Amino acid sequence: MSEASNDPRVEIQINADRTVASVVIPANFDPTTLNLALMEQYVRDTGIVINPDIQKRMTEVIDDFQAQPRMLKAVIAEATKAVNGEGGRLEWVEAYDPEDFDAMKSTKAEPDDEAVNYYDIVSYIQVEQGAHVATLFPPTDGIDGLDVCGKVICATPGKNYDITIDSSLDVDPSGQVIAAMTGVLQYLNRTLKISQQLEIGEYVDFSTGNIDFEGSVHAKEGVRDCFVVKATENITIDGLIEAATIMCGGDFRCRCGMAARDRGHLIVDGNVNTNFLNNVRGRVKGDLNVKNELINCDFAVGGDLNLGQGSIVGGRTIVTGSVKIEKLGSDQNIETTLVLGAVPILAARLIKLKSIIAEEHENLENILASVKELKASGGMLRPAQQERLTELSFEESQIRQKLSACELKSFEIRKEMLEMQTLDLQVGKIINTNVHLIIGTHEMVFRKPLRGPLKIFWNEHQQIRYRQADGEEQRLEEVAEDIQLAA
Amino acid sequence: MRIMLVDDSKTMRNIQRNILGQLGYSELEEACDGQDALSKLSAFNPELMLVDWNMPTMDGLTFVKNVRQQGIKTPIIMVTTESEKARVIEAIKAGVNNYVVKPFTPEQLSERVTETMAKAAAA
Repeated sequence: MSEASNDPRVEIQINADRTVASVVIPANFDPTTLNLALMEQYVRDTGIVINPDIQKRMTEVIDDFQAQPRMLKAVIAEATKAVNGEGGRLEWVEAYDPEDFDAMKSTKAEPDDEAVNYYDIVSYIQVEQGAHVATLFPPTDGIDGLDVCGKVICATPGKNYDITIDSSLDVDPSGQVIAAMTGVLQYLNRTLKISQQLEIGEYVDFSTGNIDFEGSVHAKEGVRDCFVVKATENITIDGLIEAATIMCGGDFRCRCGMAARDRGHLIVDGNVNTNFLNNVRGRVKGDLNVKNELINCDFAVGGDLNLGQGSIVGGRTIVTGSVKIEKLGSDQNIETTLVLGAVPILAARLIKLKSIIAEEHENLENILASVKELKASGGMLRPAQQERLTELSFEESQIRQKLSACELKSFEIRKEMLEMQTLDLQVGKIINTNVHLIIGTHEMVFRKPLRGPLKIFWNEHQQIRYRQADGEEQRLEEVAEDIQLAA
Repeated sequence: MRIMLVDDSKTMRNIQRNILGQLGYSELEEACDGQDALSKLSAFNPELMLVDWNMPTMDGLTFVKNVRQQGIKTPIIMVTTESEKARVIEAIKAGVNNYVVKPFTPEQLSERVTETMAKAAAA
């Protein structure tokens, strides 16, 4: 006991992880013998690396003890802690954040409009090529620390981001994620990509709004009344289409059909494949392939019409190419009109051109009348009149150029129409009563049924003929009333 | 080829622009009078000028004289309602290379432009 009190020692304690070192001075330690050199010796013996900060703390402890000797314990050294690295992360540009995407904010309505048009909401994130959609921040390594004995405390590097960036996006050296193509931004299963096909997993209705997409659209359900699905490429609809509007620059495929109740429109630049069309208006530039029925439609087909096992009942169908059908008309004698050998799309262009030509001829006549009037005023023309004559002469020249171009175009269209005109109607089972076949200037009205299989065609003299099974070629007038139409 | 159109009538400049466009000339500058044309001359450095006679601020004849005094030899076609022989001679003496009397047809203007450019190229 006395020995201990006679030989008091300054003790240096280091905690287990060597992050803190403390000095313990017993109460009976002689304050006059305590100085910095002694303290440094104690500290150095434990392996602590002495630095100016530690020296400062030791000086403070010594001063404190000498001022009031007592059992004193004080921290003299602390480790420099390691700073762990930050994990890699993706930060969205505000408009492209899929978790923060608000369809209502994406309506096409003016911001001040109080009424929101729910048809116009946009439920997908469309990006243009070159758009900056997000920024990738790589993980950081962190900063190593040092324990009180000068040993390195390793920092833990940040984890890499587990996000896959598809090749439809580029990442520039600064981490900016840039759209490499135009399409829909998709972020699923931690994979970011741009798809040129818009997938709609539900009905096109108030939850999706109208669809107007640059690319292809695939709706896994149907389309509700009054909604519009528009795509620059193909459209595929798996469910039923109600009285909606479908417009596409490519092909249109509907695994079910379209029941439009006279208010649906179908405008397709490619081909159409569907089960049925009911009360649909519109046109297809390519072929129309219908598995079952075409009911009460007002439809123009630029290519072939193929209803191999199906029928046309009611409405008016105009077809440029060949027609294959099982039944034409119905047992109930519903008036059904099929216009054949027509080129509706070109015919519409021709009508438009004719109207332009007529209008320009009228303008030309007015100009010529004005010129005549000016010249008839007699004597020397005033400068203003001379300038007016120049204007009229220029306008006349412009109109004549336009007329010449329109007439050339009309000629080309007529030639193309002649080349495209076909009469090739193949009926598997029957043409029913009250079917009207319009072929050129002939309207052939069936007053009684005609059994198939049969084929209607032009013979080499451009006369309308039909042939049943392997029978002889016959005049169609023998089985249908021929009404002459105006040219 | 760079062509400057100097006429106070916007309609007339439009007509000329259109006719020249059909001839394949698209590098055109417009001025609404002689003064305006002089201010644009050095920057545009035209290879042909179509100039009206009667314009406010500075008429076409004064403009032509001014240009020739500066030693600029760019071909100039006077496009004007002034059809009297004495006026035509006055313009040619002032340095005009060709003359188109209003009213003119697009074909007439085209011919004069082609003719003037051919002569300028041969000179």
